[in-house]
Amino acid sequence: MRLRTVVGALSFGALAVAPTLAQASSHREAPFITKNPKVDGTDVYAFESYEAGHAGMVTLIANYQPFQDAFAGPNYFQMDPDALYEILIDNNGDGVEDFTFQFQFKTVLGGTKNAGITLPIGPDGGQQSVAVPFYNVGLIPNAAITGNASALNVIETYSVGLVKGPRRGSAAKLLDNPGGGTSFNKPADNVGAKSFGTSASLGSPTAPSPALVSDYAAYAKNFIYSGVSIPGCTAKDATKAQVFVGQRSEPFAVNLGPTFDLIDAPATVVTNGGVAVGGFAAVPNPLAAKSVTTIAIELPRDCIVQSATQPVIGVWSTASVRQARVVNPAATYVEPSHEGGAWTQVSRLGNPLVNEVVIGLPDKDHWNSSEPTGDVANFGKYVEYPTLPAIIDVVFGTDFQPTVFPRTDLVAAFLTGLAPINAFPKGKTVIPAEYIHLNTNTEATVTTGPTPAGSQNRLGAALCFSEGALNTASLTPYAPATSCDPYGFPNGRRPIDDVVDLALDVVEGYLLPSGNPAYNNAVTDGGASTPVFFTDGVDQASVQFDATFPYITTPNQGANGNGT
Amino acid sequence: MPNLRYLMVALALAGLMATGCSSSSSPPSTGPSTDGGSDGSKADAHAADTGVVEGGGVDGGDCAFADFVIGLVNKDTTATATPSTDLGASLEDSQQQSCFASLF
Repeated sequence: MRLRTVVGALSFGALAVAPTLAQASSHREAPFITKNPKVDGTDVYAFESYEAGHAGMVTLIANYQPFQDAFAGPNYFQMDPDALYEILIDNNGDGVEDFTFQFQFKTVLGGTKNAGITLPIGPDGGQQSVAVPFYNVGLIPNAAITGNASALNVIETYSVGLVKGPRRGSAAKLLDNPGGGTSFNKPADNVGAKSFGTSASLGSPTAPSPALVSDYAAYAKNFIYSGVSIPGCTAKDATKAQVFVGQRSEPFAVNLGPTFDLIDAPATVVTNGGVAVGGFAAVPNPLAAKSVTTIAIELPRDCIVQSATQPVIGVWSTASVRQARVVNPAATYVEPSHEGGAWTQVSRLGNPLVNEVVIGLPDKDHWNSSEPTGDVANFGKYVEYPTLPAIIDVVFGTDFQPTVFPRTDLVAAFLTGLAPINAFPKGKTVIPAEYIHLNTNTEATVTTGPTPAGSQNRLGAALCFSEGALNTASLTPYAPATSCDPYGFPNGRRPIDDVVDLALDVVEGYLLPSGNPAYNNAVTDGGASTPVFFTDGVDQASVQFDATFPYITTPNQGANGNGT
Repeated sequence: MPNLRYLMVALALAGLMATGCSSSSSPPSTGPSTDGGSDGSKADAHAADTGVVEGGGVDGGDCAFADFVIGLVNKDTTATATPSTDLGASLEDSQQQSCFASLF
């Protein structure tokens, strides 16, 4: 009897296993990652910073740990101290990372000598010092960025390393904390209004008094590190990087349950997307009550691009664990298991939904362990011959599936970028690679800076194209409110971009010049130009985002200060 | 007398179980392969010479798989190491906790 397909899962004890929930953008999308929720990458965002005064900056966000319920005490959602979380950048299109930002976490107990907060229990003269079982035993103060070891019983810190060139080719150089040292602090999770205080009185502790909003937002802002320097970068903005890691509200919106229940929605709703019609907002976002853990870093463009004239980058995230794990049969807080060996990748994420609805089930774990250089050989057929359009036709009895194969339009959308917006310049070393393609200097093409938060179009840059080609007229000037927003997906990805609707439209052939019945293109097919825009019925733009770094907003609170 | 013989055999078996395995107190000096290209099902010529089977474990003994895992754990834990593609599938797993005692 040998059950050791993965050595790292060797277990003589009980391993905690995630609850059974459905999937989303890349939430629990592959069988093996469901066993490792702390290293489950859920979404990646990469965009030109649209915060006022941040011209020339690029924001990269990698979210992990899906489906967090705010009330999930007493342990909540620490990052895995035995894992390596990475955000990778390819700046020349060869599919190999040129910059890798590595995040490693450390968790210690509060109390004296980090032995855990204790209370004296027992009669006078015979008291025992006994460790408490809770995450915190008092108000977690706003002012102390390091938390309060006398009240907060779980304290997380992290380091940020930078590797230039292949990520396993050399050791990382640690980024300095502007306040000193190389350790950064992670805020506690949003336990609730009572643990973080409220601007107003807590009021009556019994419902139905009004729910109160904790001061968590102000608390978490203390953990945004500004003025961080990028090692080895001499650009003028090299000291203006920002870093934040912490719990945030789930930024992804999708009609999750019905989507995986054979798309259980009326065809009239699913085909009622687009800009002007309202079907894309038919139902509330079921993920609105969930949270994730966000790793966000804002970088000077000039520190990461290949050159001033080649500003396209590829961005993706990964998580890796030590290859071997032996569970301690006499577990301690410090060492519940002994882990060692080479970093072994278990999560990979670039464009949303790829491993979710494109890669076949037998290859999903392979995908998570793979690198972009092998994408065409390993997964090319899933892109060139996608199953999703066929499934949609079967479910709805329609005939929308594009008739053009192989689907080079999908290769462009997901693996090469769309020329001339976000594709690498053609060259001998440029290969198709699945990651987010971002033009970090789109303003050089459209003359105006990144679309500000209030004017962004949830359908992004897709609407800058029609019938397979860039509609140059849509760029001069572009009109994001009604059509073309060149700063959005698939030119990078912003939080507001409705990637579910966009992905549906693209796989159904929106970018094809012909052979796409759903769009019945007027020019090339002689059709009536009455396109069908697909939607999952949930409006991504219904999610609230901040207009400033780290953009993903305050997480849901675990308790409301009124007994609920 | 037959009962005494049974008792001696039982004690010997118990002693063997208590001893656990051949090399639990120190990890093997040779780590698992990182070059891939093998399913770990056959020993190569080098392994035959050194007594280290492909899969990284020490040839023979009840802790072969455990030794392989310990070899992984203690391998190179710097950022530049690459994972082993050999998962030790050819090695016998005695499923004894004592084989991992050196780790804790």
